[in-house]
Amino acid sequence: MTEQDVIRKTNEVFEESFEIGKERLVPEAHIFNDLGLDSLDIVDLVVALQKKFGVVIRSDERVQKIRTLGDIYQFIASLGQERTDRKDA
Amino acid sequence: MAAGMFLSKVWLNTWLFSSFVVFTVVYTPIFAVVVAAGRLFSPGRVTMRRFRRAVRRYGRVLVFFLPLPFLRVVYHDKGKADTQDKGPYVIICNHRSSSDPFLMACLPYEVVQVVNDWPFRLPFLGAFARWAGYLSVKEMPPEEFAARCKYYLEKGVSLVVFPEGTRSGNRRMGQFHGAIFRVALEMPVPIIPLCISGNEDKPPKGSVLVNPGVIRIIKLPAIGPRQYAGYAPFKLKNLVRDIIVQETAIMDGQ
Repeated sequence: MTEQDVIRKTNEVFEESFEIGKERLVPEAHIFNDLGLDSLDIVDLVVALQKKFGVVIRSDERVQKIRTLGDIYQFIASLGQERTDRKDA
Repeated sequence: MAAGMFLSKVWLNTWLFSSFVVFTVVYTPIFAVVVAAGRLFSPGRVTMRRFRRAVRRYGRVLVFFLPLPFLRVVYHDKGKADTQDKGPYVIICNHRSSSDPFLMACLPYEVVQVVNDWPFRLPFLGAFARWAGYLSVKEMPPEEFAARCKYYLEKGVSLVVFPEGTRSGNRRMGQFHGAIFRVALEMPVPIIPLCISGNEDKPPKGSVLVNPGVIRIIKLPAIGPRQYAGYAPFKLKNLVRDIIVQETAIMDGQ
């Protein structure tokens, strides 16, 4: 999956699940302060991302460091890369 | 002009805090005894209703009479027609100042407030807040918070919530936490947006000294369950937030 695919599909999650307009979905947008999600919304977000990308997201150190939308793009991309590496191995 | 303002502030705070102490010391033991005596002849639910009514009356004197003439609180109900009955409602309020919980005395309903932990640490008043069943959102996990909220709503008690979680100290409104909107969706009950303006410096964040001026409170028409049926919690909380943002901007003269 290309970087553009990750960005497009992640943005779709925010548009579909939270009805946040495209114009607000910029990489530097803080998911709490700018997009207005709270800790309970994060649970919904994780479920939606898992469904969209067919991945399992566990609460690890990388997840806890996520603050911005750009962090989510990077995190999802890293999950995709891990899956590719596992297949190659 | 500045000297006049300073003197007004000195007089207001001297009078307000001394009369606040005297009124609290005189009123609260009397109402505690009256309510406790009533408990001998009435069920617990009736006693709690009386207790919360007594708290509301105490708050009204504190908010509407003691600060006069230097500080006026003006309450306007724009949604009277559709909120005539006793409720229950979920009342959502913006949060600029530590005076907000006291200002809720303007509401004509039996309410329990969802507050941070600091009101419980106030001498004397903290104990009354706890006895009135006020919920300290920091002291409970989300599941327990939701269960307690549902318990009160089922009993017909309205909830006052400040979903920003902490006071802003200025005219900007923070993002909302969504827990109470999940409860409203599950129950479901009408949601009343309540807007406060002019209190950001009464008192300013980090101070207990109140500035003279006018605090305006506007109760907006309720958003009925039919209006928000099918909404996700995120969408609902932002709908209510947007309504309050728009109204407070008008109130602030922006």
